[in-house]
Amino acid sequence: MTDADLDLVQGTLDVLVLKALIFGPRHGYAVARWIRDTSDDALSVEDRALYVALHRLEDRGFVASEWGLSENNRKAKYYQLTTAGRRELRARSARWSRYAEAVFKVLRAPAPAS
Amino acid sequence: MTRRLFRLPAATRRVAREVDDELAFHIAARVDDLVAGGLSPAAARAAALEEFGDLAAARAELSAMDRQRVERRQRREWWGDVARDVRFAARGLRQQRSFVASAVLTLALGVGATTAVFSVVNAVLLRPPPYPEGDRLVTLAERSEKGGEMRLAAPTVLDWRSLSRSFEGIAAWTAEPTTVLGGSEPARARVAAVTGEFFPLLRARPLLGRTFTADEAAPGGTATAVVGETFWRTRLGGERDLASRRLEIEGTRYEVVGVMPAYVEFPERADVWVPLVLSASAEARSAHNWGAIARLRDGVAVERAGAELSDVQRRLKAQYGSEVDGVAATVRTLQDELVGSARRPLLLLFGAAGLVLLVACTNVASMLLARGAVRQREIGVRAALGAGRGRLVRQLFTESLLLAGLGAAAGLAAGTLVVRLLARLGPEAAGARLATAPALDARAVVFAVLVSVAAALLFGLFPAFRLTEGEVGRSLVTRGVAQGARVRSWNALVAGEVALAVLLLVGAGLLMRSFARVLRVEPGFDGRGVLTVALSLPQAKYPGDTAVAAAYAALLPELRALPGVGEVGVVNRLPLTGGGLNGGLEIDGRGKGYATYRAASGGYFRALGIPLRRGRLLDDALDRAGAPDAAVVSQSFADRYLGGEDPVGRRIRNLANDSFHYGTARWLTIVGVVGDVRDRSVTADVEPTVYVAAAQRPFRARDAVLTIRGAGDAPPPAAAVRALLRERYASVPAELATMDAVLSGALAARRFTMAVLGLFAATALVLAAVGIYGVVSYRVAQRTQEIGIRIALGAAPRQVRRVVVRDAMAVVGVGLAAGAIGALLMTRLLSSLLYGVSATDPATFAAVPLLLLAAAWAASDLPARRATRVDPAAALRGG
Repeated sequence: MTDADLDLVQGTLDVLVLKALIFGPRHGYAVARWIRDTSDDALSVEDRALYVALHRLEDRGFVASEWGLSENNRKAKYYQLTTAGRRELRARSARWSRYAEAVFKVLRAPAPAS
Repeated sequence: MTRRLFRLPAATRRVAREVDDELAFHIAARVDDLVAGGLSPAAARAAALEEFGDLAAARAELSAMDRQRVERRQRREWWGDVARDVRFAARGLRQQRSFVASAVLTLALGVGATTAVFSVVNAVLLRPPPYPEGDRLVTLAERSEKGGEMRLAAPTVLDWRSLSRSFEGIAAWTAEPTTVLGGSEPARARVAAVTGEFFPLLRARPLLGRTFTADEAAPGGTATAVVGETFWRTRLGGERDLASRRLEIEGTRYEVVGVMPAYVEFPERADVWVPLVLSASAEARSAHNWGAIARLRDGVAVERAGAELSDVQRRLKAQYGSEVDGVAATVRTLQDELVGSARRPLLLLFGAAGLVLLVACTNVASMLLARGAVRQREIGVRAALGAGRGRLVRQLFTESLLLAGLGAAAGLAAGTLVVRLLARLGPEAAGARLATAPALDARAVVFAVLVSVAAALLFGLFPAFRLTEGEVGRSLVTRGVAQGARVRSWNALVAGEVALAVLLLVGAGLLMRSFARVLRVEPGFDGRGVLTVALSLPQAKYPGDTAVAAAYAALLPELRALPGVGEVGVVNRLPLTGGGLNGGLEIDGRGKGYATYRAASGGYFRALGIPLRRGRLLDDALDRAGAPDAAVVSQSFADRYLGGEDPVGRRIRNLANDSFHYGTARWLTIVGVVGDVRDRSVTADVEPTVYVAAAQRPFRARDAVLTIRGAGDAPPPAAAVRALLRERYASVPAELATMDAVLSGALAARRFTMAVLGLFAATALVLAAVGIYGVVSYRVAQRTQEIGIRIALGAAPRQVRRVVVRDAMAVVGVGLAAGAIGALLMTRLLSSLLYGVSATDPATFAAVPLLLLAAAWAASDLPARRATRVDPAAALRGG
């Protein structure tokens, strides 16, 4: 098992996608690339799952989409955070951090003195 | 915006395309990256596709997600549009209070009338009798050669039970108003004697206690009685412990064993039921004494049961010959039996209410059209701003629905009131069943809502399409788009309204003329101011014939002696109250005859003013018990059976059941002839009648009615009569009424139909007049400029008025003609309700158009007068 194959914990993908959009409108491919690059290739997102996540977030009103031109002059669908999406990102990353810290705490606990 | 509604397929196609584009971009971008990383384009493409995985599955999944989202949004928007339409319509209506008030009032009249009559129809005609599976209950009758229906003879009941296969059971009954002792006070109650099959057959469960056991319904059984809920509450104080209660009826003491819920009122709205044991051997096959009710076996139709039973009866006739006078059988549903003659008038009124509703709809449609014309600009602006025709129609229709909703609410309120009124005024059949039913049940409410929606479609869609047709946007440039078309549709509405009003008025007119004829019919007696006292002499106190005769011999003179009393008589049954006795008889030397049969005292004729034509009246002194039996016959009896001869001195015998009581048929000698009396109904033919002396047939006078006329023209002293009866005859229950009430009761059904139809017709007349007024007013306002020019050119006010009125009258004339033709075709439906007036009565057909013409003239002249006051200068400047 390599690091690149790390499975994403349920619900994590949504928060990653939201985070990817915090810097401005991006198309799906850019989101995928950003997640992979930023995690130093540790997190690889399955393409199909990424698009399902994007469309789901759009359905819930966390992102809005718009057609635009890519850097290579191709027609691309750009996603953008809505106000609700920003709020959702804040709530989720806070929750995620607390969760991750708790897990770390347990994993790094010193051996009990017997 | 509406366009989105029709773009659903296009929207889903777009969704799929966009998903394709998005995924294609992803692959292309990946290929770019891989090529930049050194791969050949072909290898890069293969790698990109490989990386992505199942592209088709992803495409399908994403398309489905997006399609759902789009559809959800469209639905939300559609409902949002509806909500906006409703808000918009409500705002619009709020700004037009007077228009809304008149439209809602008009609709309330239509919906209220229709709903009220529907409630009655529902309660009386549609709802089955209130017994479990009540639609399977039927009544049975024998049919004579002439087609007349007769009750059953006892042997017939038993034979039908054993020979027919269509019924689960057959119960026989008889019912009489009788004195019942043992309650809080002596009561005249309707007591029914019923065979053991009766209650199991009705499947009616007692409220309390039980019904008869098999033993009690058999010969020699314990005398037990079941009482009705009403009787139990009013006479027995609603006491739950029945064991101690005894009732005394006709000298027999009955244990009360059960209480039936109030809805059980068969037969003849009985108060008390006692067991009846039929003995076939004791009764003749021509003694038609027993009513019969039966329950059809599962799967047997009424018609088949009737055919089978007629077959059975024909076999009996063949077997017994002249002993049997019933040649066939009639099987009728209990429903039909209870509704009886009320069906046709009710359906007629229902139709009439529907016409009123149509007139109301027509009126509201023309109001909307007029209002729409005013709003032409607004509609034009909205069309110019991009509202499609569908959107505009929907908007206008929403307003109509909102109006209809308000109309329905108001109509239901009005309908409830009217139903209460109808229940009070209505004839027995309608009144009795309405009284036990909720005024407006769920069915009636659903009906009202459906009617209102239908009405909204009628009056709303037509103007909505009319107003939005053509190049709506052009109304911004030129005013009066589709002017001609609108005038035409208006004219059609007005003409239609007038035609409907003609139909209703002709119907009402014919019924009113009939009623006037009926009122002028001489009933053969003069009941004005006559007091009637229905009483029954209890068997316990007056056990036999002698006691009954003695009671009347004492009572009549006592009453006669009261100050203010002019005449006192007694008769077993008043005319026009239904029932009574009739049967075959033998005329000495002339063979057989058939007559209505009454027991009376001499004072009866004098009290009711029945004229003596020949011989003498019955005489209380001469025709007493023991003296030779005397009879008085009616003129029609003398004419039919003794034509040309002097009836006085002739003998007759064998009057119904005389021999049954005395063992022999005693000869009676005719002592006089009196005038004919209308007996069955005011409009029925008179029937030959024989009067016998109450003192000589006391068994016929135990339940009887006293007739008391005041001295001179003064009304009889009711209080003194009541006091005397209470003081001296405390055990005799007595009910006081007036003969006027009896007469008016006999006409109640006819008066009811006439009054309701008259009310509907008057409503239609007013609505039509209001409709004409509204349309003409609007036309005048529209033609202000034209009228101004005419006046400026020197037209006299009279001429202007004439032009306006003439235009309106032309349209009204078309409506009148159409209505008259419709009425000629439709009044045939009325003919069975008419009396002395033909369905094409020329007077009615002449008067109605004149009345409508006058109303229309008045309605159009008012706005026409306004037209003459147009200031030509102002009209030409502005307009």
